[in-house]
Amino acid sequence: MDIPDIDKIMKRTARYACEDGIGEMFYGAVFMLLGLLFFLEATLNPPIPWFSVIGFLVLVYGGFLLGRWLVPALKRRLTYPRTGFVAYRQLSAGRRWMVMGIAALVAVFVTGIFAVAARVGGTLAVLEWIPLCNGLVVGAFLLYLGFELGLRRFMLLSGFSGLAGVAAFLAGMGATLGTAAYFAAMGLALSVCGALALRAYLRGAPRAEEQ
Amino acid sequence: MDGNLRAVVNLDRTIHEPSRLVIVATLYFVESADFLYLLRETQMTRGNLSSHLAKLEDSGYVEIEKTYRGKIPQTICRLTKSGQAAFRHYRRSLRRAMDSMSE
Repeated sequence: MDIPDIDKIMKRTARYACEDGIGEMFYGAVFMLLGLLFFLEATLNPPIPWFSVIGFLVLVYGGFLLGRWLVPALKRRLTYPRTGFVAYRQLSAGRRWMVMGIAALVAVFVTGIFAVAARVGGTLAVLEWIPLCNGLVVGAFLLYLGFELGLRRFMLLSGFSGLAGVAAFLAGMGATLGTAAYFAAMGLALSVCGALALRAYLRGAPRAEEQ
Repeated sequence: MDGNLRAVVNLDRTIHEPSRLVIVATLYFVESADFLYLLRETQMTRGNLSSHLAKLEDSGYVEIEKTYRGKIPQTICRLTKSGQAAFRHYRRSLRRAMDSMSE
C-alpha cells in the first residue's frame, strides 16, 4: 500500500456531507420559498408594509434553524445506515457568533435595499442589478464549494446561478420580480440536483443493517 | 546522521503504517466517525479494521465507544488529544523529510 494522500482524504471526508444531496434539496426548497415571497411582494396589491423584510428574515433564519434539525434527521434515516455516520467539527463559539453577525449584516443590507425599493416604487435603476448580484454571489459561493470539495455538480450549479442571475437581469422584470424569478429557478435547480444526487447515492449504497 | 533523515527514522510507526494513516487522517478532520464509515473509507475488511483500531486504541490515539443506533450496534471512533498531536507531529516530520529528499 502506498503512502495515502492526506489532502485527498480530507477532501473526501468533507465531501461526504454533500454526497447524498439532502442538504441541496432542503436549501433548494428554502430558495423556492424565497422566490414565492418576492413574487408575492411584487404582486400584492395593496402592498403589506415590511412583508418582504419580515418574510426574508423568517425564511433565512427559520430555514437555517430547521435545516440544522431536519437535514441530520434525514441523514440519520437514509445516509448513516448505508455508508456510516460522521460528526463534523463544530465552529467555536466565537467563530459561530462572527458568522451569525456577518449573516445578520448581509440580511439587514439586503432587506434594507428591498425596503427602500418598496418605498420608492422600484424606480432606482441600481436595484435592477439585484438579481444579477444574487446570481453572482451565490454562484461564487457554489464555485468555491465545488473546488474545495471537488464536487463537479456544485460547479455546474455555480454556472447555472450566474446564468439565472444574468437572465433575470436582462429580462427587465424589475428588482423584486427578477429576484423572485432568480430564487425560484435556483431553488428548483438545487432541488433537482439534490434529488438526482440522492437517487444516485441510494442506488449505489445498499443499507447495511449491522456492523 | 542528517537531522531531516533522522526525522524519517523517528517517524511514528503506529501512524506511519498506511492503513492506520488513513484511519488517523480521516478521524483528524472530524469530531467522530463510526466503524461503518471507516470501513468504507479505508476499504479494509472488518477484521483488519478492528485490529488496526485496537492498535490505535492501545497507543492512546483513538477512543472507541460502543453504543446503539436503535437496535443496531454502533461503534463510534474519535481521535484523542494525544492522537491529534501525534498526527500533527507526524505530518511535520514527513514534510521535513520529503523536503530534504527533494533537495
